[in-house]
Amino acid sequence: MTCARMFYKHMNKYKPTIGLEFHIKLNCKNKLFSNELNEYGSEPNQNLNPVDIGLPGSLPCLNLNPIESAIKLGLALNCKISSICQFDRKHYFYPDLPKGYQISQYYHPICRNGTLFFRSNQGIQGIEIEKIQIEEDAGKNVHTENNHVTYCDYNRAGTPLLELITKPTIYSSYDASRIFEEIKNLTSFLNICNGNLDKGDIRVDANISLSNTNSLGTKVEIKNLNSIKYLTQALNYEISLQMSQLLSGKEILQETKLWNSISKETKTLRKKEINLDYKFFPDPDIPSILCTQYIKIIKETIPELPIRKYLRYLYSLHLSTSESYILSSNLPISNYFEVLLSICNSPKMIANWIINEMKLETSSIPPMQIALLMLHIKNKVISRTNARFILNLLKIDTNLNIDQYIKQNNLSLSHNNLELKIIIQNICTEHHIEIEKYKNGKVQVFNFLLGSLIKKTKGNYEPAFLKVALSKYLNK
Amino acid sequence: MKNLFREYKEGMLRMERELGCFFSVDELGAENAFYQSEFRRCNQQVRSSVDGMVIALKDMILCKGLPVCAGSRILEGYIAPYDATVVSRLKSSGAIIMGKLNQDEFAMGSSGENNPYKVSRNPWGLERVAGGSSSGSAAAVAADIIKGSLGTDTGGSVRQPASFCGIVGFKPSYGRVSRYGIISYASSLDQIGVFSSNVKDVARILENIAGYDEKDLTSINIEVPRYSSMLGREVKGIKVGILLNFLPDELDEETKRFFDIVVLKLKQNHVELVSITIPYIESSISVYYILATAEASSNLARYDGLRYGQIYKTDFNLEQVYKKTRSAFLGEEVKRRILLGNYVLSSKHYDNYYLKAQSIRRKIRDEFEKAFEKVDVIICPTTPTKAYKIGDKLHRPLEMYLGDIFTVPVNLIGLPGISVPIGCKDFPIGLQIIGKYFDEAMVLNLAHWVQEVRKE
Repeated sequence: MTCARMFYKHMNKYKPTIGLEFHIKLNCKNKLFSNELNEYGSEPNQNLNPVDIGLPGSLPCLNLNPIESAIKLGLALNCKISSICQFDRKHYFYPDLPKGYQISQYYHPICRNGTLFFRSNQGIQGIEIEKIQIEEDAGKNVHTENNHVTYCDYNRAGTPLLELITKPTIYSSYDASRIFEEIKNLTSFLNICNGNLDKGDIRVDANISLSNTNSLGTKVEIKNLNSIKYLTQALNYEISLQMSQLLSGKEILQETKLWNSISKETKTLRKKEINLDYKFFPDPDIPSILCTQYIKIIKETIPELPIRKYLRYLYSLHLSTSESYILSSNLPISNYFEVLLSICNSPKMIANWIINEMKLETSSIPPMQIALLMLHIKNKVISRTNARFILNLLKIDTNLNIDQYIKQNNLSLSHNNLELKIIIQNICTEHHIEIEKYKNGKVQVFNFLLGSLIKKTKGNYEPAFLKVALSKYLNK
Repeated sequence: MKNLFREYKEGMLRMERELGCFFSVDELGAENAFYQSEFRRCNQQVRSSVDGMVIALKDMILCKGLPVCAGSRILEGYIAPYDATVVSRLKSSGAIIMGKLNQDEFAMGSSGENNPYKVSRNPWGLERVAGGSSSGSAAAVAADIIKGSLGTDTGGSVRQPASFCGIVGFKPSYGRVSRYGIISYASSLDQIGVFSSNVKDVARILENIAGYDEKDLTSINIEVPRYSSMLGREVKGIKVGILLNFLPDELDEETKRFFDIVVLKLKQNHVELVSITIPYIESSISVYYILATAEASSNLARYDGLRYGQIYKTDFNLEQVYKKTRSAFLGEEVKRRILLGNYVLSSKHYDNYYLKAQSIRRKIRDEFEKAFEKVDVIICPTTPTKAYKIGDKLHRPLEMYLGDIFTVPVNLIGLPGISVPIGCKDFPIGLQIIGKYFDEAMVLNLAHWVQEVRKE
């Protein structure tokens, strides 16, 4: 048996088990424990205040927005929300950690035990969420390439993060990627994260192990993946790497790895670490706060969630799965769609226009304009061709008076048979050779003639109407 | 006018040479503040009850532009980049800040001996300790070098040196005074305290620094009374609790005698005396050394030399930088407490030490609250002994820890506590008055009465 065949024979025996840890950067205006700005891309060490760099004597203050965001996400994932919000200190020494500890949540994570529903090619699936906790980010070590100097940039220190941990019940890289996608959509939908993956707004650590028994194998952690593509690639790479190691009888070592997106392989960051004792204890500078009163208020601010929308679009509006998915994953687009729908109740057509004609660029054109256009199509006031033409004008002049424009330029659909007959006659004289062919039984010519006719009438007639008229004329 | 300040300053520096109270003196800043205050006085623009009062700060407290090292080499050369909230309040009240005072390193100690620089001496006998950790704060006030001073009190570091030096030292309720800009030792126990030779000036300083601060989440937003105008009220009818299960065998004879005199005088003045017991209170020292060291090990983790203070220059190896810097520039007592703190916080011992200590702390609090249903204040000696000789207890840390037996419970619960002198044969003895949460006015009034009664 060749190596490759053996590989595939055993492939089904070893099953991967994956758990994900998301780090979600919140889009709050300020840092978690100081009033310094939570901004990306400032000059190094600009957004600093004594608290952020742990100057002697500084004490944290507490911004409530990140707590609200966490509760919002927790409620959206059906988590149990903790009645108190308490912060703990996690101790370790590293230059990017100015206080010698990170303020995080260990004993009382703000949310526990939720479910994330995600859309995969097997329909809708659920993955259990173990917990969500609020924590501050660390600074950043900046290494210069040639002279081995490391600088610290503390702008990021103290910015608010949510850490979301799934149960290790994911069994394929595909599912993992769908979950990442869903987290990205959901957090933008709730407006708690900007979702710019290239700016590191969401980073994920993936824990993966392979086993052919009921107990889990040795786990490898791939850290800091900041794109859905990299997550998929890294997991696929790691799965096949571990598979071949297991098949050749090698032991898997517990490691922390990084994905190298250029060489497309996982590289060891550190071998199994001595279990660091983080010496967690409740931060005595931050009294715990009671959340119960907030939970009710926040609950009311949560919009219909993407997954609900998706199901509604799919089953009550009868859109296709891809249309439903596209329109439900982005809040502004979804809102746009629903405004149009409330005026012109043709979901299929509107979905088609937003996705295919407008290419999802809905931000500039007021929805009422498009709604009017949709109504005109629906009521056969103008043809699709002319509607498309007007759409292009709207992209330039968003406040164009559509009705006036249609009137002035004579764009409305015509039902004038006499005029149409003359046009058809002209076309037939022009293309008399094709007419001959048609009459000799070459029926394909019909479509060519219809095309010319549509072109000639410049969208003033409905194509269906033209088709009937043309065939009537040819077959008389 | 110029000479007045200069004269004062020269006298001060002469005494300072004997006592070793100051780490740094802000001659220029103080002189400036002095003239500005004089100008205000001449123009009837006095800002507050402390306008023109000469005070100084324990080195735990940040004063912009002045060095701050908390008595530690690891912060040597560090200049405070901002004012602590109490300092900015004092400045805007017109107080004159003379400089920074000596202390035990990171406020860890009860004698002022735990620092690599110098030991503050007790003005009542230069071979004796001034107490600690706010040693310089107490000695400088006792020697009348300054009118008042600020210290920090985590387990008695204000009340004990006040008692040793025969002055008044007051630790208000936890949350009464902002901790922003105070180098943290044990966050849940630290509180700013005030020293002066008399209760009235203590009240004056306190009313100018107390009050809510949005920069400190643990400060409490309740109104600050004008303490200095609430002194001299009658004490008749006040219910005073005397702790019965709390007078250890090693209590000094003389201390006991002076304490009994006070009790007698209270009785003569129709103060209602109630005997009380507080179960678990004997565990206070153990609880304190678990919680304080746990928090200290965390609060002191930031001193790695990378951003400020001293760094041990070594071949580049991150772990070595951390180890060498902290080994070389932190003192023995500080390292002892960091190790102890790390031990009680380690995941293996967390439940048995840290959590258990917290639960005993809650029990002691409940017991105090029960006691305060029956009484308005509780009195006991401030310390079991008088000021001892320099070097006497330096190498017996456990014995030194036990000297805080009367003061530590007050910090664990966060109550206001004052030490006021009640007698002096050779060295002064202090009485501690403990009040209800945020009832500083009651404590100050009784302390004022004790002070006045002694004069008679």
